[in-house]
Amino acid sequence: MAGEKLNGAHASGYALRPDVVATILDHGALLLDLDSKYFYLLNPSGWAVTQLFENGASLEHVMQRSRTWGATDADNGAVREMVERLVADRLIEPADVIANDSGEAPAAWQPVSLERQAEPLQRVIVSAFDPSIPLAE
Amino acid sequence: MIPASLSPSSPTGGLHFAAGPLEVELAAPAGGLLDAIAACLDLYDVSWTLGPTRRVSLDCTIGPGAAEVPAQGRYLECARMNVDPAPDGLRATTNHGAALEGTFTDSGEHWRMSASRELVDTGWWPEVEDMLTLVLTVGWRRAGWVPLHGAALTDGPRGAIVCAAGGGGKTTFMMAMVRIGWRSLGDDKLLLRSDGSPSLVAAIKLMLNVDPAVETWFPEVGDLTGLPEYSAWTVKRRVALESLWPKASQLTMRPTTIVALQRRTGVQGFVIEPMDAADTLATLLRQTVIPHDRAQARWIMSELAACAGAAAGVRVIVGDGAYADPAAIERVAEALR
Repeated sequence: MAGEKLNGAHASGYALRPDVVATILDHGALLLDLDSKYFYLLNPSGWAVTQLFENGASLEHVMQRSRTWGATDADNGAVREMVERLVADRLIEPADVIANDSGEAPAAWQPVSLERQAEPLQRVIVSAFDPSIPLAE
Repeated sequence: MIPASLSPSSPTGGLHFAAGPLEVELAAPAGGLLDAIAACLDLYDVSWTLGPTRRVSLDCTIGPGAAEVPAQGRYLECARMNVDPAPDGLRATTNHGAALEGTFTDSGEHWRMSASRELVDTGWWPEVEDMLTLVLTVGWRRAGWVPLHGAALTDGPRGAIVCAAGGGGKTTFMMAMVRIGWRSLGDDKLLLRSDGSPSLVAAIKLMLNVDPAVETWFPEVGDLTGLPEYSAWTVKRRVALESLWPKASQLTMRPTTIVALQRRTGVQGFVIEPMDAADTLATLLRQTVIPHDRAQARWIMSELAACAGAAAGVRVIVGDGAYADPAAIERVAEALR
């Protein structure tokens, strides 16, 4: 059950892992996991939800803020699925201290999207300049 | 080419090189180590005119090696070298026992390289090149420039960053574009900065790495097989752009298109496909090294996102015989924004 999946760590909520960095795009944001080297594209609503985890947030708080921003009942499932995906991909981790900040609303609410690029960036590279040189087999 | 003054009989250095916005002062014992580093630095043949330069000093010694605790790769993990953060900079060690330690200040960086006697005696220079590349890429980033692996072209109003993996055909594509009147900023090493304004690409190396086989499509290049090989791992030769096409070089440009170049057999000529914003950004992200450092990673991503966000993305598939038809490249040029 999704609720158990998200709340089973005896933590108050979740926070972005320190190894996950973000940069804001014209329409959303880019997340890079410096550990796995996977990067993710978020639409503005997805980024607004993800930002709540910067200082820690509970699932209940995230759902409540999403509703405030315009999420419909139909959108709630997608928000929950996105949070599950953030947990599954270890972009957020259980946290005991959570701020439950109000966060910044997206300009206009739309169903959240979190898209992981199929191939991660090279984790081990040959050259400190050129990441595209293939490693020797 | 190694200057005659750097021959093994030269006295210990205090040599000065320019590498984009860096002024590198190199001190090393005369011999193979000095020659190897100098040969790498000598590739950066562009005089920097885009503002002040930063001082980087590199002091090299030859020691017993392998005495230090190996770095773990907490900043950067390379095949032959690991790099860790250090209190005032970075620290790297290589597989063959060489070490590099950098101390950073506001005005520049001071690096100490220690190469093992074994490494020097066997002439295992790739690890020395790795360490030197670290010195340069750190310096460029600290000077506000993102190092980018790619070719760059401009016809004045339009500017294209051409992205492909090593050996992916950037040089040949660049040569085809130059032949129809575009100018080049190099075929493989570029610097990029956005800094809140339209992105700017700067040339740092106009020496090309050319496969002699391109003579098939570019007879004006002539027979390059008599030139020394670029390295032991490739048949490519180093050729100065201006020696092939005088006045074909350009030192800066504003990128308007990001080109993802892909070779594909079974396809005829060029195939041009638009890329969406996500693919365009992903293409750029794969052309630079992002260290495991939050602040630097965030800055690099932000610079590349600004560049990608203001540019169109185009995938150019290079099929069989694409360069055999001189008119085909004109159609590619027309597709660039």
